[in-house]
Amino acid sequence: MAQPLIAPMPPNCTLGVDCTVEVVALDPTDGSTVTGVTVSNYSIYVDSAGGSEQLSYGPFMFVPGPGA
Amino acid sequence: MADQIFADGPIATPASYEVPGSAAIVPIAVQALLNGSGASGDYVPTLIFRSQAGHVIARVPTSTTVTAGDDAEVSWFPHVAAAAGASFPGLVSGVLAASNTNFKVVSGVVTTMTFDLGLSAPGSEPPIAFTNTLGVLSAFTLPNFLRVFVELTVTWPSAAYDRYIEIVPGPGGTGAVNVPVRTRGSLTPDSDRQWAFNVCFGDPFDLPPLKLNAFQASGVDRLVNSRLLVYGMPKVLGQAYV
Repeated sequence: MAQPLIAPMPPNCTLGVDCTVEVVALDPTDGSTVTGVTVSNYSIYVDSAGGSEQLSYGPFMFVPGPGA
Repeated sequence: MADQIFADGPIATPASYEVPGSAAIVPIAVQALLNGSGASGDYVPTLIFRSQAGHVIARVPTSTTVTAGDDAEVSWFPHVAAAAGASFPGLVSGVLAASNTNFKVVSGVVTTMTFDLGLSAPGSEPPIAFTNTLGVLSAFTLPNFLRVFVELTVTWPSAAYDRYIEIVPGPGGTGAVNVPVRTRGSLTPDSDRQWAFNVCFGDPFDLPPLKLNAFQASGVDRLVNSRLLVYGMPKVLGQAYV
């Protein structure tokens, strides 16, 4: 069973075109990348400003909110 | 209105979503299931925001390290406090206490002091390492530490003569600036007991040596008694040599 964890993130941080949201696995001793970790059920809830219908990118698909 | 961007995965880390087209987003929450069955080691799930140029805007690690092979379901959202975790490396210190008795300092010779084998405090993690296995501590190494606090107290035979003690750190890691600290005097009784403190940068890889030197120019050999305390702070994610 997956260990449930919570962590803070910056509020009200506007990310424009070509900005990225990354989930990574880092080594706790030196901050280097730990290989062999995969991510699934990766959800990013966003307030979108314009062009929201074009938010699909690579394996990520856009899921419009209610009333969209 | 909140929208959702979703990838079923699995995606190899770093799993990166890039804001496409002419859009702009304000993340409200991020959720991910990390599968560590193939992880090459223990890991810390971390969320990173990057600018268009690839520069880090925010890097948010969880306060918990996940054991290699284990999974983690992580939720990032604003206005929550990270759970206090005893395993947070920045809050765990390696502690070493050592001493010597009647250590001989030859007149006119800068002498690297040796100490009886010190004791790491219970629970010290990671332990401070010695460069030899003879039960004598001389120049010693500082593996796995970034910032190291060193405190040295030396008691000299009472008399008026020039003497000093110094803490001489190794070069430290790339970008580190380590400088010796020396306490010097010749008065008695003021200089009969000398104290020096230094903050040094270690390196988790280069194992820089640290030397504790004593010097006196009284014309005769002097026997000193010393006490040494070392506190090592492991490197924290994102911490630099400042």
